[in-house]
Amino acid sequence: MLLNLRVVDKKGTVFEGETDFCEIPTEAGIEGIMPKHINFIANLAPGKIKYKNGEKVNEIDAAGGGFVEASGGGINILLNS
Amino acid sequence: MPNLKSIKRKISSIKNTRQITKAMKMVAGSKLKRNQSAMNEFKAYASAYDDVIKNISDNTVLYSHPFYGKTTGGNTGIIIISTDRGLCGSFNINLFKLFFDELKTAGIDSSQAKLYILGKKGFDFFKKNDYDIIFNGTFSESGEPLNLSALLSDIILSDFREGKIGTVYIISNRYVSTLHQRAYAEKILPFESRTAGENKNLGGYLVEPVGYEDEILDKIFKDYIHTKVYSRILESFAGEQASRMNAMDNATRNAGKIINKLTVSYNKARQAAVTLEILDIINGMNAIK
Repeated sequence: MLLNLRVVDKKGTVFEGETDFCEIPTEAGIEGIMPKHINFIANLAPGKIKYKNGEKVNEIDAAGGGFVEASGGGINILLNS
Repeated sequence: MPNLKSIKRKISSIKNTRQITKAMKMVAGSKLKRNQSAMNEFKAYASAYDDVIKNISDNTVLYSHPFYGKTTGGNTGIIIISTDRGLCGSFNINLFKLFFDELKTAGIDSSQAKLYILGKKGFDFFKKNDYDIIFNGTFSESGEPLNLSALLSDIILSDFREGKIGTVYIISNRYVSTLHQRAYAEKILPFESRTAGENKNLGGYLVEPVGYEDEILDKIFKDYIHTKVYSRILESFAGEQASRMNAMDNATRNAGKIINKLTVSYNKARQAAVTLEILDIINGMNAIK
């Protein structure tokens, strides 16, 4: 089972696709999310969102903040930028 | 038979009108492109936000938040996004029609309807009809639509919290395609908590950092209303220009039709005058013989 990751900002979709691991900088610390993670909401802290795409690790800049909502196998990250 | 001069004057005046409507169509076309791209850019964000709120609404744990649950007051807040300028076909009229339909179907008395109006046309209309207008903002005076939507959503939320309004609807035109815009009403507050349905998610949410749950959710919900209003404004902008473009296109075409008709009657009148003149000459010649 993979995670459905969707990252959007106010200019459009930054990334939408499947991943098996995702690392998100939140105000409570860096959060690693794998499939079947508990439902989860947090504000983003400035940093980089990392997600694994196959063997490659991609990064998305999240300097402007925003928030993340994860539930039911999907992660929605809404960036403020 | 109308005289030649008056027909000619009419034709030239309609030609002028046609030129103006043609120019307006082109202006609307270029504005449409700009507004359309702004709308499309923001769409992904708005729809992702919709999904997030839907996910949260599937969750029973958060129902204690004041944005969920039953209507708290008798009054209904209605946000109406109209336009500042006219000459855009039935764009605004459709909104007003839908407003009256909504009042009827939801069983809201017109004295209980508190209006939050964006756009000059809507304000003029509802003022004339003696509705209770709480907020009125025009796009041309307040600059960026982002500021206006922030201001409006702040007012809506504080009125909602204070119990001045119990339910909030938003009525605006949605952009379906260049040829088609549809007036659309949606209830945005309070959030509907889903009690039945297969997708119901009882798992609850972990909101981090723990201890700040209320602040975090509050901000998310507040921003949601703001996002919603803003995305509707962008859609309405694009729809307005599309509607204006169509209206002006029709006007240009109609002007062409009228010009053709008038030209035919001009030619007829001229021909009649020529015939009369010839008859006169022949009669004169016959008299001399």
